[in-house]
Amino acid sequence: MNLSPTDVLLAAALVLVGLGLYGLVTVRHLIRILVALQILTQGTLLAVAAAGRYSGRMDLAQAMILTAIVADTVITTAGLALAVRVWQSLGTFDLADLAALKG
Amino acid sequence: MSAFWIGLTIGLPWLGALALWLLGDRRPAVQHGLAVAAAVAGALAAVGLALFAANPVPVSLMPAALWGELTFQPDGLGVLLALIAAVVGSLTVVFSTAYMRGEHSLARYYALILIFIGAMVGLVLSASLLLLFIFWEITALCSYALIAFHNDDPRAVAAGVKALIMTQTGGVGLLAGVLIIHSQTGSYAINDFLVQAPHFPPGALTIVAFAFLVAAMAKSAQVPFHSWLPDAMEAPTPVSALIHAATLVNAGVYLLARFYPAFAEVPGWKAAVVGVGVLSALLAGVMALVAGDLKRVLAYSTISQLGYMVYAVGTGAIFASQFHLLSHAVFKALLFLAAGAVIQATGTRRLSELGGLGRAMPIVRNFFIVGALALAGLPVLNGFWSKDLVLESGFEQGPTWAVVTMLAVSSLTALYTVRVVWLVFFGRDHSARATAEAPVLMRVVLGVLAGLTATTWLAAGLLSQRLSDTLTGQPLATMSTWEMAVGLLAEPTTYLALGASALGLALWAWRGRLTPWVEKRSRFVQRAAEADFGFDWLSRQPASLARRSATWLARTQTGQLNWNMAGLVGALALILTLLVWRAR
Amino acid sequence: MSTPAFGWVIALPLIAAPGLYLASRLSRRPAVARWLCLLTLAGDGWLYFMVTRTPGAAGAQAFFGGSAVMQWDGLAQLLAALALTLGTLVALFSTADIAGAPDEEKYYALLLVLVGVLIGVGCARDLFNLWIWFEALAVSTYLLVAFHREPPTSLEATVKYLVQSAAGTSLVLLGIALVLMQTGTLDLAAIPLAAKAAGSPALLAAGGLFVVGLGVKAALVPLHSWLPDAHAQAPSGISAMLSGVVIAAGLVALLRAVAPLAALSDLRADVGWLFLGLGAVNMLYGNLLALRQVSLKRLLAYSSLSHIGYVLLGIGVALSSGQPAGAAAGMLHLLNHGLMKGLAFLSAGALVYALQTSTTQHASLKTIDLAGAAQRYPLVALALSVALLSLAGLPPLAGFTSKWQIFAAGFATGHGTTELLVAFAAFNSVLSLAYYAPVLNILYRQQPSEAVRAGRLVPAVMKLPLLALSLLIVVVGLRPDLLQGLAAAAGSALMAAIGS
Repeated sequence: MNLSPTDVLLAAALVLVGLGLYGLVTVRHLIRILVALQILTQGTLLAVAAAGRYSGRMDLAQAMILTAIVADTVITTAGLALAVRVWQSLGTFDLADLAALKG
Repeated sequence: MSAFWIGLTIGLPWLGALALWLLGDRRPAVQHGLAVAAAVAGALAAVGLALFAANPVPVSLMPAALWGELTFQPDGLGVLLALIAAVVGSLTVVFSTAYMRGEHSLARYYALILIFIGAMVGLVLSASLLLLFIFWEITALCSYALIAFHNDDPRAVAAGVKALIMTQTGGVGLLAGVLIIHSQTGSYAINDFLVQAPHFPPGALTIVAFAFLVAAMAKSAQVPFHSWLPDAMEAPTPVSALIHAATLVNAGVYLLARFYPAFAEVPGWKAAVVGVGVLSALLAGVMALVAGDLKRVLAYSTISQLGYMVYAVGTGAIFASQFHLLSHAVFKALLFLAAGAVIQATGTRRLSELGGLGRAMPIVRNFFIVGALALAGLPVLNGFWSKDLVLESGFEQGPTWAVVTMLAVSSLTALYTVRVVWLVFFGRDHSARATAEAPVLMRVVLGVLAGLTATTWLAAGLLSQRLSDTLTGQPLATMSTWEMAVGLLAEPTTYLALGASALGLALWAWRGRLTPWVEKRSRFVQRAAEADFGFDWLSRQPASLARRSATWLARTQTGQLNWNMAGLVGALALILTLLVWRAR
Repeated sequence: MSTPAFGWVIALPLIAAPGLYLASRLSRRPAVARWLCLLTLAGDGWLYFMVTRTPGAAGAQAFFGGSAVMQWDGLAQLLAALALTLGTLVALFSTADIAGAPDEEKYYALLLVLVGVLIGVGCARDLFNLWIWFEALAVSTYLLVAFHREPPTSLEATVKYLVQSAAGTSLVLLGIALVLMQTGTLDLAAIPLAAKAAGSPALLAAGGLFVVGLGVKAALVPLHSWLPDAHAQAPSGISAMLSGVVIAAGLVALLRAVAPLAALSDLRADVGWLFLGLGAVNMLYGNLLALRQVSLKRLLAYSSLSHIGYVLLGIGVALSSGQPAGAAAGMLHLLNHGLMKGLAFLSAGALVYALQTSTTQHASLKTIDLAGAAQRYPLVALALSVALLSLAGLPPLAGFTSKWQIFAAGFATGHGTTELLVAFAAFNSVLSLAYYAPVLNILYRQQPSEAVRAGRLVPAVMKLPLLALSLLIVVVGLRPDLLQGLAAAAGSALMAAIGS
C-alpha cells in the first residue's frame, strides 16, 4: 500500500473528526465540550487541506481554511463567553446541570 | 340572475356576521336584532333563489379569485338544502333571541351561526369540488366553535374537539377523493367528474367512492363514526337544532346523493351504503331507547333517521332520501327547540329529573307531540309520508333483509319517541320545577315549525319535478303529490310501517308487564347500548394512542447535550450507511 | 457599476449595523437604534423592490474581483422577501418588547446583521460562500437567542444550540472538503459536470454530511433537539425570526448544497425519497410532541418541526417523480409558514409581554395562563387564532392553500406510495388540530386567569405587526395567486439546480 503524505493527512483528519464527535457525545464538562468541538473543527480543516492537495486547488483550500479559522475563533469566543456566564449563573460546568429543559 | 341570488343568500348572513363581530358585546338588544335581520334576509334570499333562479347552469362569482373559479350551481338538490339551511337557520336565530337572553359572548355566538349558515348554503350550491371542500371545512370549524361555545366547561370543549377531529378525519377521505378526481380529470368541476366517471380506471373510482363514503359517514354521524354527535349536545340547544339536526349532518347525505350517479356502478358501494344506513338506524335506535338525557335521545334519533336517508341512497331512491331529509330537518328542529324550551324552564336535561311538565307547559307539549308523531311516522304529518316513501322504494329496489330491519327500526322509533314524550311531559310529576310556559317568541317559532311539519309533504310533487329536471343522470321518477299519496296508501309497506309504529306504542303501553321479562333477558344489550356499543371507547383509542406515543417519544428530548449529539452522530451514521448501501 | 444592484440588498443592513450600534451608544439614546433599524430595513425593502422590478439584476454577479460569486434567482428572492418582511415587523414589535433591556442597541444591530446574512445565504453560488454566510447566520443567532442573559434556561438553550450548530457546520466543511477532493470545484453550477467524470462514493458521503450538517439548522429530526429550547427561550421577536426564516434559510442552504449531487442522473429520485421519509418523520414527531406541551412557545416550536415536514414532502414529491408543482408548493408553504409562525410567535410574545411583569420568566407562559385572554386582549387573541387556524390548514387562510397544493402535487403523481404519504400528511394535519384547538378554547374562556387579570396593556406598536400579518394571511388565503409567482420562481430555480 503506497500511502502518500496526502493520504496520511486525510486519515489524520478523519481520526480527529472521529475523536471530536466521540468527545461531543461522551464528555460532560462544558469547557471540554468546547475543546472537543475544536478537535472536530481542526480535523475538518485538515481534511480541507488534504482535499486541496488532492485536487490541485490549494489556493481555494487555503482561503477556506483561513476563513474557517476566523469563523471558528468567533464561535469559540462566543462559546467561552457563554461558559463564563453559565459559571456565574449556575456555578457549574457540568452538563447534567444544564438539562432543565426537557420533553 | 342566479349569481345575484346566490350572492345574497351567502353574503347577507356573512355581512351580518362581520357587523356583529365589529359591533362587539356592548349592546345585546342590537345584537339580537342584527342577527335576526341577517338570518331572515338570508332566508328570504334563499326563497328568492328557489323561486326565480333555480336552474342547473353553473355560474361564476369572481372568476380567477380562487384557483380558477368560484362556481355555483343552483340546481334542485342544492336549492332545496340551501332553503332548509337558510329557513331553519333563521328560525333558530329567532328562537335564540329568547333562549340566549342574558348570555355572554353573543357576538361570537351569532357570528358563528351566521357564518355557518352561509357556508352551508355555499356547500350545497357549489359546483366545484375544491369549493365544496372549503365550505365543508368552514362548517366543521363553526360546528366545533359552537359546540365548545361555553369554553369554561371542559365537557363542552372536549366534545367540540372530539367532533372536530372525527369529522376532519373523515374529511381526509373527501380530500383524497377530490385530489384523485383532479389528477384524473384535470378539473375541479363536479359536472366534469360526473360525466367522466364511467371512464375512470376502476381502482381509482373505487377508492374515490369509498373515500367519499367515509367522509359522509363521519359528517352524518353514521356508525362507526357517530360518537361525536351525542357528545355534541353540550352545545346551546338552538345550535343542536340547526347544526346537528337540520343542516351540517345532512352534508354527508348530500354528498352521497350528489355523487350517486358516479358511484352506483362501483362494486360493493351500494351494498356498503345500505349496510351503513341500516346498522346506524338500528344501533342508534337502541341507544335512543336507553339514553337518560333528553338531548341525547334526540341525537341518537338523528343518527337513526340519517340512517334511513343513507339507506335510501343506497337503494337508489334519491328522491325519497331528500324528501325524508326535508321532513326530518323540520320535525327534528321542532323537537330540539321544544326540548330547548323545556331545558331552559327546568334547568336540567336528565329524563329522571323531568316529568309531568305537560301541565305547566301545555303549548310546548303539544308542539313536541307534533314533532314526535312525525318522527314516529304517524299519518298526515310529513314524517309519515317520507318514511313510507323510503320504505317503499327500499322494498322495490333494495334487499329484503334491509327493509325488514328498517321496519323493525320503525317500531323502535315509535317506542323511544313515546318513551321520551311520556317521561318529559307525563309520568312522574316534577312540574314544580318548571317556572313558566315558554316565552312567546319561542312558542311562535315552535308553531311555525309545527305548521311546516304538517305541510312540507305537500310539496312532494314540486320537489320531485325540480329534482328530476335538474339532476341529470339520477334515477328519479316524477310524480305529483296526489300520485305519491295515493301510491303510498296502496302499498303494503305503508301498512306494515303503520303496524310497526303501532307495535312500538303498544309495547310502551304494556311496559308494566313487559319490563321485568325484558330486563332479565336484555341486560347485556342494555348495558352495551348505554356504552355506545363500544364505539365511543373505540373512537377514543386513536387519541389515547397518540398521547401514549407522545409520552414515549418525549423521552428522546432529554435536555442533555450529550444525548442531542448522540442523535446527530446516529443520524450521520444512518445516512452514511444508507448511502453506502445505495452505492453498491 | 462594479457592485450590482442586488448586492446592496445584502450589504445595506450589514453596513448599517455597526453604524447603528456606534451611533446609539455614543448618543446614549436607544431610540436612535430603533429608528435606524427600522429605517435601514425599510430602505432595504425599497431596494428589494427596485431589484425585483428590473429583470437584469438576476443571474450571477461577481464581487471582490471574482473571488465571491453570488446569484439572485427565485430561491434568493423568496428568502429575501421573507427575511425583509418578517425582519421589519419583528423590529417594530421589538421596539416595545425589549425596551429598557440592557444592551438594547446590540439587539437591533444584530437583527440587521441577521437579515443581511439571511439574504446572503439565499444568494450563495458556491459551497464556500454558502458556508461562510451560514456560519455568519449561526453566530448572529447565538447572540440573539442569549439576549436575555439572566435566566439560566436561556443560557442552557444557547449552549446546546451553539454546540450542535457548530458541530453541524464542521460536518458541512468536511463535506465541502470531500466535494473539493473529488471535483476540484466548489461552484454549485460546475459541480454536476465535474462530478460525472469522477466517481460517486465520496460525493455521496458529502451529500450525507450536508444533510446532517445543514439539517441541524433546517430542523430535521433527529437533529432538531436544540430547537424547542432555543425557540422557546429566545426573545419573542427572535423566536419569530428563528422559526419563520432561519430554519427556512437552513432548508434552502441544504437544498442548494445537495442539488448538484442530486443532479447526478440516477440519484434524483433517491434524494426525493429521502426527503419524503425525512418529511414523514418530521411531521409525526413534531405533532406528537406538540401534544404534550404546556408552554405555548414550546408548542409552537414543535409545530415548526411538523411544518418543515410538509415542505420536505412537497420537495420530495418534486424530486422523486419529476413534478415541479411539488417544489413550488413546498416553497409556498415555506413562505406561508414564515408568515404564520411569525404571527403566532409575535402574538405569543405580545401575551408574554402583557401577562408577565418580569422578562426573566418570559418563556414559561403556559397555555393555561391564557384563559380568558380574548376579553382583555381581543386583537392579540384574534391574531393568535388566525395564526393557529392557518397553521392547522383551515380555509380560507394561507396555510390551507399551500398544504392543498402540496397534497394535490402528491396525488398528481399517481404513485401509490406517494399518495399514501400524502394521506399520512393529511391525517397529521388533523392531528395538529388536537393541540391548536384547545388553545383557542382557552383564549375565549369567560373566566380570566390570574395572569390575565393582572396583565398590562399591549402597546399599539406591538399590535401593528400582528394586524399586518393577520391581514396578509387572510388575503393570501383568499388570493393565493399573489404569492404564487414568488413560490413558482423559487420552485423552478430549485428544479433547475437539480438539472431537470
